[in-house]
Amino acid sequence: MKRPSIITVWTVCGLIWMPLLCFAQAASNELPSAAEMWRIIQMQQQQIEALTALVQANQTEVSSTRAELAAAQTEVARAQAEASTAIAELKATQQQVEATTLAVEAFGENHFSMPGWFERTSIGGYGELHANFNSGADNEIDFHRFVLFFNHEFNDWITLFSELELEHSVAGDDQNGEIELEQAFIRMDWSAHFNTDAGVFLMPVGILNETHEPNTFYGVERNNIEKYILPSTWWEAGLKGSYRTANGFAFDTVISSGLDLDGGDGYIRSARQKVSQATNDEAALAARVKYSGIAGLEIAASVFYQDDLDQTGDADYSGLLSTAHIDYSAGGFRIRALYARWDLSGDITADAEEQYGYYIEPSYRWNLSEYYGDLGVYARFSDYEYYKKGLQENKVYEIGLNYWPTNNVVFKLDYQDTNDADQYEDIDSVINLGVGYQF
Amino acid sequence: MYSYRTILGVLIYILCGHSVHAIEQVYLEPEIFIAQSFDDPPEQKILWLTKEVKVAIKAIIGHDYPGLRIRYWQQGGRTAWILEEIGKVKPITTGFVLEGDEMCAMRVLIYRESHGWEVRYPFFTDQFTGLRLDASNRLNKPIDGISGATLSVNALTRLSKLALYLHRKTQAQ
Repeated sequence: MKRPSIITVWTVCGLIWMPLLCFAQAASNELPSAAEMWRIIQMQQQQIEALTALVQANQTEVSSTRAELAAAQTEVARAQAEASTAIAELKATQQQVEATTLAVEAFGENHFSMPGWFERTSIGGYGELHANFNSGADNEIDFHRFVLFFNHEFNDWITLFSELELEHSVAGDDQNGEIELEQAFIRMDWSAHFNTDAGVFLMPVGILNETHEPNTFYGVERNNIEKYILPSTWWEAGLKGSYRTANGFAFDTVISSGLDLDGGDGYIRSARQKVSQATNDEAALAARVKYSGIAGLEIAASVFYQDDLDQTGDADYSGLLSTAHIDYSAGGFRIRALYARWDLSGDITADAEEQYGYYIEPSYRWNLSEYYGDLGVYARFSDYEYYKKGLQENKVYEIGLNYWPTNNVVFKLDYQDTNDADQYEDIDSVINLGVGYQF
Repeated sequence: MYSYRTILGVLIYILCGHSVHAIEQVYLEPEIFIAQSFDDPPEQKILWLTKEVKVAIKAIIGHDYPGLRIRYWQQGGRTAWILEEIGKVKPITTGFVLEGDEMCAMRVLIYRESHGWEVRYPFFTDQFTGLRLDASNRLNKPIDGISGATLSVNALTRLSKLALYLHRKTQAQ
């Protein structure tokens, strides 16, 4: 193998070393100086120090945050504990309030621990003051009725109903007034549909005889048909049975003490004995059928029969009372009409054999406001004949108004034309004022 | 005197012919009324008679309502109430069912007066279905009364207004 020449060697070396020398030269040209290196190092040192400080600051902040978080967690735990305590206290308070309320309610119901009878006894009443301004006669003012009800429930099906009345303010000898026991009966509710009344009770006739509180009818004075023909207020002693149906029918039957009518007098109203040491030789029978199955409507008819009306006298005559009425209201409009007649048969004056009467009464009631109450106007025509020492023939025309500031209080004003009425004699007309109440 | 014996005999026959067992004047037990008023068992709630409520009640019925609170039953928008008000001399216990803004039903549960028995029958109580209260707490239609039961009718009319107000109060809460 031929040996390479020196020129070739040197050429090859040169070719090799020339790039290296060039590279080295280039490299020796980019290297910073020592001062620059020191400056760079210092800059880097500053950056390191800054970064270190930043890291330290972050570490501090993290530590603080951790501390705050721990404190917050502690606070939350404490608040939860307090809330639990508050909830427990609230529940305890609610239980205390419930117990207190029950105790207060029971205390109130027991009426301060009064005996049980007090809870089952109730008191009510009504009253009315009348002022009559008569054209042709003296005027009059009179507290006509002061009435108290006393009711007592012996148990859930036996009840006492009673009514005591003072008429004309003062009772006694030579006084105008009377104290009367109008009702005192024991009601027994045998079923939801049937009950009996035993004692002194109002006869089931007419409209006003059983319901006559002053705020329930128009006119200061009660209508004359029910006063002189029925004769309201009429009560007897005996036994009454009442049966009601779900479709609005009611049936009443009565066996009771009777009237005692002096034949010569023939005045039905005076025949009421009022169960005051009353003669009881003749029982009386009464019956009524009533329908009120339509809201606002009442239709009824009743009969009363007594075989001998003159119990204490020598005359012998029977008496049959027949009545019928309708009472209808729709909204503010109302109409009442009633017919009643006595047929007396036997040893009685001819003029007294038939005594009858009827009235018709339309009315309208407005509600003024919830606060001021209601105002009503009415008109009534009454035509009636009754016997009192002679036949009394009467036609009365009247108009008037009622004002109810509240349902249980009433003020009344009416005008009666009595010019065609025998009973009023010289009185041509009457203006009546009245105030009444019920509670 | 023959008339006494005959008549008494007839009356005794009539009395014996009836079912002679004492039934209270409770026409419908309150618990049964509540159960019948809802499809599912209702939730019992309490309405406290706060000062505001008391003032409103007094304006409606004319006097304070006894007690510190009133219980009622509710299911959804339907409520039932059992309220009492004196008719003539004794309280009438009455149940009311209301939904939306009107009365669905009214039932007299216990009646204690001597007259006015008609108020418990549907021919009277059906009038209360559909009753509403206007902004002045007045009923949207009149209630036709019963001759001889004016006070009882008035009491039930007041109670119906009260029930409507209380129902409206609970719906607003």
